[in-house]
Amino acid sequence: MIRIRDLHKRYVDAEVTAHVLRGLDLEVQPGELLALVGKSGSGKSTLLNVIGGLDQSYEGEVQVAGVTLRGLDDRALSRFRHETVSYVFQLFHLLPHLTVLENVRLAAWFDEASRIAGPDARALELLDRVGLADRAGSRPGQLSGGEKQRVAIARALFTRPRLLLADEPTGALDSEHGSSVLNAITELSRADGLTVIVVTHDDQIAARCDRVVRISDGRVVHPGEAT
Amino acid sequence: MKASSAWSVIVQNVRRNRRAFALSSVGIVVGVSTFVFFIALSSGVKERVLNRIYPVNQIEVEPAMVQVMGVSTSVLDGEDLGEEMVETLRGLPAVTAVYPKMRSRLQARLWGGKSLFGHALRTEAFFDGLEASLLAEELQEVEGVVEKRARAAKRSSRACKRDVECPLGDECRPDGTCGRVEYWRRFSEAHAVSYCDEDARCAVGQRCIEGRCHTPCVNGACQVTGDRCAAAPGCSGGACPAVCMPSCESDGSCGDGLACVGPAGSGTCQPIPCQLPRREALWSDLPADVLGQRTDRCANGVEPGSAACVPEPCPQSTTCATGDVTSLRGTCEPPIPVVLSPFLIEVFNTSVASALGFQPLDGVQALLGVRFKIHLGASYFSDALPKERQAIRVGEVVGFSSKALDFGLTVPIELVQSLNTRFMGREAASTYDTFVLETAGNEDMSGLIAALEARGFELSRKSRDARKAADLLFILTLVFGFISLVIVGIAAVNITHTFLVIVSERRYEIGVMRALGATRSDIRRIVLGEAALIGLAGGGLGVCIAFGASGLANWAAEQALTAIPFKPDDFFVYDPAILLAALGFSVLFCVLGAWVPARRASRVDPARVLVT
Repeated sequence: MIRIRDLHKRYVDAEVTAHVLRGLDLEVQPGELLALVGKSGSGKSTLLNVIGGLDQSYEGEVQVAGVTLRGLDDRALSRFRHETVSYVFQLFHLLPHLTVLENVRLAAWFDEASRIAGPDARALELLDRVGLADRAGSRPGQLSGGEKQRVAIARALFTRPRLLLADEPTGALDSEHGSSVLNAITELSRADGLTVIVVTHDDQIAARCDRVVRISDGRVVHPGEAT
Repeated sequence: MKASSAWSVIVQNVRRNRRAFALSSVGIVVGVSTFVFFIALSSGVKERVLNRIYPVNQIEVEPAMVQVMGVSTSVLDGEDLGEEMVETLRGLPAVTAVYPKMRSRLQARLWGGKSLFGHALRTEAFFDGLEASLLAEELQEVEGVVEKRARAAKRSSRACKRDVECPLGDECRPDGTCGRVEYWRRFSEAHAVSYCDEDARCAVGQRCIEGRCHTPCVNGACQVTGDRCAAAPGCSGGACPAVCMPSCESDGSCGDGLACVGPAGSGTCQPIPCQLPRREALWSDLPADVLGQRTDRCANGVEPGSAACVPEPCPQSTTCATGDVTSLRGTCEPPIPVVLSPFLIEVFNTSVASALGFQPLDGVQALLGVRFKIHLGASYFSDALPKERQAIRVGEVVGFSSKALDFGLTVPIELVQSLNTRFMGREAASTYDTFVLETAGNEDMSGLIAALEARGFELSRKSRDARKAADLLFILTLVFGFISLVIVGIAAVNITHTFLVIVSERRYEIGVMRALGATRSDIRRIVLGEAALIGLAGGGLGVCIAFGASGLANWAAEQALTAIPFKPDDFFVYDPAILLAALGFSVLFCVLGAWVPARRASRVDPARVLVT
């Protein structure tokens, strides 16, 4: 599913250059649930951005679902983000002026190929699967943190992606809500045969993944083994 | 991103930021309303005020004057300024029509208005002769306004068979109801009876027969198609020359003041002879005193001249016009149709009325149909012609036109030609004074003016003033257009600022959209679409405000300018192209204002804003 070879990423800010990823290699199999762990600043989120096609300024080779990301123009990269990959962010990033249902079906606006037939029905189905069908008409401000993250998961699954990238999805939640969110991610991804990469600091969450990959100083120091 | 999706995002975004957008589009609204208001006003003034004086495709030219040893002399002195010149001018490139003008060359004075002012006004009279076709449209339009006002005043449409059954100022129309008299027709359909004492007092081609100018039959045929040869009035047998007279079936098929004489069904239209009961009637202040009595028949059907004869007055709307002031016999004639300049009314209302203690006239309707007496061949300022060459006629105001003589009477040109010939000889009626030239469009005018100047003509004062006014109006339009553009330009800067703030506030939202598959151009389109929608809404509101303001301005003009005749009901002309251009400018400036923020929005880095 994912093949990364000799990935380098540098942040250049005025006179300071930070070499965040230093020749990183990684392979992820289809349907795998992978935990990406490491200290803050080790390059986990940066790696996620590169894999998700949000960051194009790197060196090395990155292939996701058979697509070599380097060199794709904005249109092709946007299409890749729309069709192949989805994100769940630590701070949810739901749009406050839209209802829960509208947030879930947000990606339908950019569905040029009309891949998603009946977007409202699809959004309601996903909300049902995350247990929030009765909150479809609510605004994000009326939801708890756990509920917001479950809506974000439903939004991420709306386009039927092949890869789900979750950047500390439980980081802003207490343990109870964090656990329910993780349950949602694992159950839904397994049901849909999704490949999932979860960035986390939480060892309990990492323990529930198929494989744990540790990153330190921009390299994979523990490639992990399938559990 | 599909257009329908983009539209729903745009509408949603505009709705939630409506307050910020409403404030930032105030400048757009003000700019567009200013632009539309002044362009419409300028177009309206040009079309409905200036165009009345001289339409953009018409100019009036007269022979250029030069000073020779302190004396003004015409450059074209000695050249034929008659029909030949008309033909020459008609042959100039771009000229589509030529309307000659002739001034009266005889002295005249007039008095009348007793019924209006309490006592008669007396003044010297000057004439201008104009072709009816040059004025007909304007007269008709103005009378249409009067008709509209009369309808607004809920005049009753009374059934009738004859004019006398209708209220004053109305006539019995062919549909059997009373309606306002169509005065403009009297100008278009006027025909003049020319009195004479010799052939030289008649127009070329006419002869003086029995004191009136007639076109004689040539070899038993008339020059005018449809007319018949008839024996000159007062002649019998074949002793007199036969004359051309219009053929008729009955009195109704002849014009005002003519009767159908001859066998039923094949007669000729001939003047109706009449007589005044007493000489004082000629000099009285009341035009009704010269109504006169027919001498060709009696009201009770008995033979004229018998003691039992009940005199029959001249037909409705005609009066008895005597050959000269020494005679009481004449023919029933319709009054001389006179068109006045609105400027004259303005001067009366602003200066004369207050000086003489008269009530100001309330616009056109107060004077339409007013009759007065004209003393031809006599003057308050110079020696009169011999009494046998003086005549008294009745004039009637039939309309107003800005093309009319400012201080004087404007009458059909045929009448001026006839009067000039009768009183001053054929020479006096052989040259025109000015020519109104018409072209297909304004764009041909500059070249035409140059060609005319090369031929020794120059623009008349009115034409010069009209062109100056048009130039001034053009400059004012440019100035106001520029001011509007500056306002809209400043508004565009405001739009830029608003969108920069909004884009900054929405950076997470933009990041989410990018993460979900929005392209840079999708984001750009959304922001520019919002700007376009604001421009459209602001522009639309601006146009509505301009409409409202113009309605208010028209109302204010209606209240403040009641004494000025001919002011248009609406000073504004809204050209759909201008409205579209205004909306286009509004949208364009908003889009330009949002260009930089849209570019900035499209460059939001989702990796930076979404990942903590």
